[in-house]
Amino acid sequence: MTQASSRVENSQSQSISKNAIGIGLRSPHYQQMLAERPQIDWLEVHSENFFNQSSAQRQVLDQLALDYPLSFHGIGLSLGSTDPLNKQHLQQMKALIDCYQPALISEHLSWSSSNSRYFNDLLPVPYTEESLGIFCDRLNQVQDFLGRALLVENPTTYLAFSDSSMQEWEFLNEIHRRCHCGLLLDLNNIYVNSINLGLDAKVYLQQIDIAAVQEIHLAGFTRRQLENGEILIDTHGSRVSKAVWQLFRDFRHRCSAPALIEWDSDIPALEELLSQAELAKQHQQGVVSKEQLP
Amino acid sequence: MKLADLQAQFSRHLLHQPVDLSALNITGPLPVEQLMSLYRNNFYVSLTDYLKGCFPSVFALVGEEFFEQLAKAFIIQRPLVNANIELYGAGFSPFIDSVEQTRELPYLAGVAALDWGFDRAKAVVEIASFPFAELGLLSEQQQSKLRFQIPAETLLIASDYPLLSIWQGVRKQCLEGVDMQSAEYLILHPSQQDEGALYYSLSAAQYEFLLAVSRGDTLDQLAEIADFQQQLNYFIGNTVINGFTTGDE
Repeated sequence: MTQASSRVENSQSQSISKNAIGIGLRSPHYQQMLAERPQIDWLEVHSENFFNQSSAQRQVLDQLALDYPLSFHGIGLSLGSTDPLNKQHLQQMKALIDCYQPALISEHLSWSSSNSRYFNDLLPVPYTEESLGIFCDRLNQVQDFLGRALLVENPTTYLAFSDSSMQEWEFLNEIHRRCHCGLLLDLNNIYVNSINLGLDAKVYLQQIDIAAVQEIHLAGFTRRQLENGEILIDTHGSRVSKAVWQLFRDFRHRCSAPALIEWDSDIPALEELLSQAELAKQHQQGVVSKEQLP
Repeated sequence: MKLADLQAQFSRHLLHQPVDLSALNITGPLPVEQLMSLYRNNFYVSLTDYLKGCFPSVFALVGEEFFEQLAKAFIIQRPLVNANIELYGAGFSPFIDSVEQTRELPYLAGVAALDWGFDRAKAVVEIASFPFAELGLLSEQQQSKLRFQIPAETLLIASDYPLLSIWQGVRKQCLEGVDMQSAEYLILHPSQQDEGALYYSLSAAQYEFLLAVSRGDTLDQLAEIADFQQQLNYFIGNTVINGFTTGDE
């Protein structure tokens, strides 16, 4: 019996406090995390990376699960797709969840498969009644199968569909209402979309159902110069920007939910990630003034 | 447009198939072609980066430009059919073997097979030890049906080229002195030692013996092979043969 499975027998789902600050666990940091067990409130992992029960990654997770509450963040369920749900994927996800009983489970408002072809990306959904019905139907199937509520994350989108009949926040609020799921609010995604698509981030954060928000993501973006203008790319490959810290400060006054530093490309030293988490904690406590923002 | 049609058209565009983008009713800060290119580039870059990670020796042999061409052709012709990309690389070596662009590098598919085999072998966390105690408990009838097992991640290759020398040469960045005309039998298998995998040349007899084991020949059939006992002891000792079945399971 693995340590994780024995732990599950002795406990129920983990919990993460509303003021907790976590980091996304990535493979370059595995050994240092195991050796040093740094002070951090919780860890989030990409679920799919841990499906294989006999993998080295699972051994790492077994160890770290003893010391840190976990969140499983999925990227492969393709909830916004019209394809049938991938039962094998779902079973693998359930096995993982049953083994570790994570505090939070999340997925994206996006699609990544069509006609059984997968695209390893989070593709945009038009915000229509049809999309809403399909998304909610699939999310309800997933939640019923897992026996747990999921959090749904707002996506980065570089385009909009003129067929959309509602705003993204309306779409998310309605998913929450129909499926009784939570929301994972990625403030960097909101900021990136606000610049690229000319939306008002403050209006978004005023309109989103605060009571539904159970997790916040903080990350960095990259500016890319194209022939016809500049666009922000959601690379998760740099420090959290000043503008996103400001959104976080403002939003924290109204919403308490655990926050996470997400860094997926050009992954820095663990110390850098922990330093961003510490900065998040300072923002949360209001000890960083606007003038001190990086 | 219905959502299923929109996603089908979007997907076709990602896979470089002709699509009327105006029918998708896309708006945004840039022309629709550029917006869609962001998604298409992201899709190819993420899968190409994954392939580069799995096939470092292929990448080192052919260089970035050719590798990216190969990867793009692979992604288009053998699209991902699972949400989890962990095993997507399994088809890369057969693909390399099937395309015209690699004819001048006839050993490239073999190098890719070794890269993939190494990647998979390293992922094996626990390797079972040979169950000698259980072997001693078998009845005569069970022994007659006995078939030995080797770990699924074991790679056996008979190559017209000195594949192992090439692969090791690429990894050490030194290909000088490799006789490109010499054929080779080789094995790569999971190991608790060193890098998580062991790889070495085999004699023709050793290769034939392991081939017979891997195709499920019975103990009686294997016993017909010359030096059977010596080979069996050698490969059990090296944890290549690490189990058996009697067909009763």
